[in-house]
Amino acid sequence: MSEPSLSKILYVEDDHDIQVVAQMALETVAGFTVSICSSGEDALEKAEAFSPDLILLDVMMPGMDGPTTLSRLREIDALATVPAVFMTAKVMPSDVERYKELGAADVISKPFDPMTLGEQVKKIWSLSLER
Amino acid sequence: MNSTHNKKPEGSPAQYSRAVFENALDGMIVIDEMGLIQSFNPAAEDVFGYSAKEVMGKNVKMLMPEPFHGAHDGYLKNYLQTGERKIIGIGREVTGLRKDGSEFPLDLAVSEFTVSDQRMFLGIVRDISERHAAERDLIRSRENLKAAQRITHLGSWHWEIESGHLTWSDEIYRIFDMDPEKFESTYENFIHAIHPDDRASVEAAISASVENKAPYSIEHRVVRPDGEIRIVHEQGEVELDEAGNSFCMNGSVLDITEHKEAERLKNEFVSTVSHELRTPLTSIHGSLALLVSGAVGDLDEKKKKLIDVAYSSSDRLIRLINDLLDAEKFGSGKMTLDIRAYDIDPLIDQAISLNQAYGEKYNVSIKRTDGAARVRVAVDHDRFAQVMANIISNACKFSHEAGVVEVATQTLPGKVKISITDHGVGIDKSFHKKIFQQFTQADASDHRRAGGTGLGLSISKSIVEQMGGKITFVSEQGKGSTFSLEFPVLDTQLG
Repeated sequence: MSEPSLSKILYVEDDHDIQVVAQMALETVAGFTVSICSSGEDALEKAEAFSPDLILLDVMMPGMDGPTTLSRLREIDALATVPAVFMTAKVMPSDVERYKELGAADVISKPFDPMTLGEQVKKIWSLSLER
Repeated sequence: MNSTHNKKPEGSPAQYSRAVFENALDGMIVIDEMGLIQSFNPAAEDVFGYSAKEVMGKNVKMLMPEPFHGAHDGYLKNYLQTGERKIIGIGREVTGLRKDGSEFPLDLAVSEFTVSDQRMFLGIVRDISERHAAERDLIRSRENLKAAQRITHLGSWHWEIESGHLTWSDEIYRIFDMDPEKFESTYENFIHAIHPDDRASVEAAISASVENKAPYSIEHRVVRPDGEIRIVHEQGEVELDEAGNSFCMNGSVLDITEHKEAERLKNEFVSTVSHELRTPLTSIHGSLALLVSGAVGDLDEKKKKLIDVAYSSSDRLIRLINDLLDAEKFGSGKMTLDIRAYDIDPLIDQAISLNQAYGEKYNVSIKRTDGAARVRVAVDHDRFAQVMANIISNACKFSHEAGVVEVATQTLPGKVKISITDHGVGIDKSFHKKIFQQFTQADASDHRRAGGTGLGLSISKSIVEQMGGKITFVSEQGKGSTFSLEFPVLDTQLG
């Protein structure tokens, strides 16, 4: 069996402009394959078929928010253990702990640096596999 | 002493009585059955402004304003006929009339005596206008205090520790929404009115205050009888008896419910706005970063220059928002630090290497000039890095071209001192006092030094102090500055 590698990322984000930047950062700069979902509902529909190596979720979204989306995705057997990372513009130390308790591997704060976003995600992904 | 004391007064009894009459401090007026003045002593002259000559033989009612003036003849007559007393032998407060027509409050005591079958009355009078004025002032200042308490929602209390007797001002009853008629203000009842979750801390603060004879200051919630919760700021201090023991306490209760609510809304507003600002900034800054990096293709020189400007401005905007949020967190006491024990040397080396790139921008190098300090400190890793970055970047910014910023450590008894020294422009003396205030920046007309938020040092100071440390600086204009951070040492690193 080959070494597990990170290639497919499911990215859930409601803001279109941020989608554009993050997609370019993750695809053009970091070379991943990204499936973009504009809402939690959208993610629940696409996730299983896409079979991501990692899930990246915005926290604050209208309708279903990031934490709710994650807990619903976790109910899908195939996605029960896929590493998940939250992205948020409102980072408080207490929030980070709470997000980790919800099953996130880590939290990335916005604004993120598109040139290093890929590396950041990869690092979190590797660390979560070690655990 | 005894011999003089026992000596009989010289002269006749009549002379003796006269001397007493002349020298008494209270006014003495003798009238006959008709009410006509027979004697009027000097003190009475002072009280009424008449000389004895002017009043002798005249009806005493001339010393009384209406309606007493008109009623006096009848009153005297009535007494003589029925023996019914209103003043005689009793004494009371009446109103007097001076020669100049002014009226004044007067203490009057009247006694009756007989000389050669002639019934006479002795009135002793004392002008009490001053006492009245003092009483009026007292009442006025008490009313004033009550109004001030009501307007500012600041109540006051007095507690006798031994007896447990507690006195509340009206405003405390209002803050607690208790009926002064029904509520018995005792220490136990006061504690009972406090929110159950706050009782222990309030009791602890009070007993510590009594024990240590030190003032206390605490915020707690009060539950009104109808269930409404108010937030109060309570302060108290002990009063010591002659032996130096705490025997009573005086204190105040300030209703800060509205103030707290306003503060909460402000915090919420700042937090919401910062989030709303960060969302578009994420895409602006991200897009520019991708363009600047060349990851999406090359730009010609002019375009690159403009994109660079936009990129560094968006970067500054992000830093400003981050600083604002930090300042807000410290201001509202919501800054929480993740304090752990760290070896100090790697923290300092990391800070230097992380800021090396920044230094290169200004053609300034950053160097550690001494060996390892080999001590451990209790700090928040990221916040420590933030403070170091703030001070090192300032040092670079204010250095001259090709300058050196030196970072040194010094171990002192129980603490460690980190000094960051530049040999740049230094800080103008007039600016020394303001340097840690929010939104203060030295004159930055020089492009090299522009670009700060004016919050960095104020935030650094708050961070350092919350970690139990101290931040200081020395600077001489034209020669440079040294900023020092002091932290308590946990222990010395072995090996």
